[in-house]
Amino acid sequence: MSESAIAVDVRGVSKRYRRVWALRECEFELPANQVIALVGANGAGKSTLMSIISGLLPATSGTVLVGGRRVGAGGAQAGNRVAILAQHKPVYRDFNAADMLRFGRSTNRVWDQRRALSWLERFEVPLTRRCGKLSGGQRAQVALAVALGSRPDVLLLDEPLSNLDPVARSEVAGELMGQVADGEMTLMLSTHIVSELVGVADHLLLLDAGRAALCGDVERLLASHLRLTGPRADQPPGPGTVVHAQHADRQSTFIVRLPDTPVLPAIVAPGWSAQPVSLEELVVTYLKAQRRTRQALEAAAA
Amino acid sequence: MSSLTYPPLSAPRSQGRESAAAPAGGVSGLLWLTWRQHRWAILACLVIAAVLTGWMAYLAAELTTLHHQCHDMICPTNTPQSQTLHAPHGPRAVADFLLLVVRYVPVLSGVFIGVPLLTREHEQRTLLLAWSQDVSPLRWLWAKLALLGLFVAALTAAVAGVSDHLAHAVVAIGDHSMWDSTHFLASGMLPLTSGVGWFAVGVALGAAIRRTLPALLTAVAGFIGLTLYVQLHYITLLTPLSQFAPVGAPPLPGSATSLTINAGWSLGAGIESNLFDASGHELSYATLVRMCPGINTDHANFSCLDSLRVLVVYQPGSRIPVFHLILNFGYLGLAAVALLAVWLIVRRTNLRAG
Repeated sequence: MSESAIAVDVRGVSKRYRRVWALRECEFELPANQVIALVGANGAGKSTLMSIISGLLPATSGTVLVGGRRVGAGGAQAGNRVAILAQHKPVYRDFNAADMLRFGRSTNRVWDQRRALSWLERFEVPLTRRCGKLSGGQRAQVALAVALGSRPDVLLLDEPLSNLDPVARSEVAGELMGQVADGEMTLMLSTHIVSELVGVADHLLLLDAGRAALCGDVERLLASHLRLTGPRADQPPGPGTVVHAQHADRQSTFIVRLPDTPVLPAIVAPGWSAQPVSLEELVVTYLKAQRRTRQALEAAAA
Repeated sequence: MSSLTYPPLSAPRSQGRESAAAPAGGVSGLLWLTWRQHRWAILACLVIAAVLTGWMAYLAAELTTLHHQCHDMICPTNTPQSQTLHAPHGPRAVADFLLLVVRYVPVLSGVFIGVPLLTREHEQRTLLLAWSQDVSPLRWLWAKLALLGLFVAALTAAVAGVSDHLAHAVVAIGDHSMWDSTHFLASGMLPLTSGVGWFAVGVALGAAIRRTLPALLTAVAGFIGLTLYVQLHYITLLTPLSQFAPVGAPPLPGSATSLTINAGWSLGAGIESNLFDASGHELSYATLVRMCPGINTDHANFSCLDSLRVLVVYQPGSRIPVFHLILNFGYLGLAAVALLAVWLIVRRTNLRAG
């Protein structure tokens, strides 16, 4: 990945809260101008990672580069503007939506009033009603409008769809993709509901117990994993790394990561079938595999 | 309606981006934000201050008029002016009450303006919103502190000016001194520096405790404690002066503005008499009994003490500005310590999105 195409470069970042490690030696690069899905179970460190990237939270060790510039605690620096929207979608309850936009204009170097207003109009949020009297979904739209109006280079959304009804989820996801396509913005959205990401995310970052378990382009990741089903066997009938294996009396199922070669080998073993994996299946498989590895390590240590 | 039916929300960045009307953290933007967030507290404080200063100014004018009617002297008893002045709810009583109220104005600045500055952000969980914009957290904080601090200073300066005028008017018409706590603590620039100090303390308590009610109660408790401490100890901020005076002599020159701490003498075994001979030696009880036989009886004749002197301990009126200055520096020091604490707390505050 070329330097200019990297939006976020995380190098050996760890974060410890007293005795608990929230992140451990995280290392990955995220491409610019794409939708990045940050996925992980509850407590995996997603919010901590986003807070560190935004500069609000200092890392215990390691460095984060946004747009090639190092992020320090204490807010945005010139050239690498990062906006973050927390999971609870904070807004000032006694402000109306118009006041919230003025807040954004008053506190940002760059402000796109038209973009913020269009977002509110698109989702029919009344400008003159106090945020405290708006529905949870409407408050989330106001918070999103402020975040988008500031025209950040990187926009971090923590569980952005959690307050929205199913129809609004689909519309917001679509609009956010449109924003990324229209502007030069990298969008990272975290969730533990993988089904929300299908068709939305270009890039996947899977976080497990504070570590980056999987990171890559979604299409490539899906193309490089297969589910192989066939007669019971200890090993799959082809090359690749076994991510997950499941055995019944007469049947075995393997999720395999294929080797990184230009031409993938065909599966020709009799009785075996190969099927692509879904994004949700891929994520769940990796999370389960990571958990098994942790449990095995803990058992060995005990 | 499908999202596809809508036009794009914005033009490409190069066309659609607009610079904000003012740079981030510019005075006008943060001024608006500060006003928008604290306008009710600001208006309430303005109303209270306007009523208080207006009432005090009116009373000061009324007292001055009565004083002039008495030819700039203490009004003799049973004159209409004296009866007006000393009526149960007359201008003198109301003035004393208002001067007492002035002493409690600074806690309002701490409770209504200082404490909510950060606690409201913590309680509504909007600190992350405020601090994740282009304005840095410290710039956001110092801008708000400066704007609200200036407001508190202007407000308390107005109150201090009028209350000082009223305190002097009250002292002029009666037998009280500017050293009385009612007048001393409500005069000079004390309401101003105390107001700024308690505003800063309120912000610091809000930053440390993060909850409005506990921070508010702590500020009130601290204010009462410090006010009582100051009230009890302000006369000893500087070592009092002392001077010998003949027993039974008229008061010292300038005693109308002085605070006499000790000017009496006493008799009794084991008790310091505060009676001195010409050479400056304090006389013991036994010496006094020898010198004045019968002095310890019911039919004592004290004329034998006429040749002796008492040591008068006092604070001269000329020291009042110095005492005010010391207290002013104390309150400003309190403000500086509180602001340092705020800075340290905010620097150490880590926010997490989740």
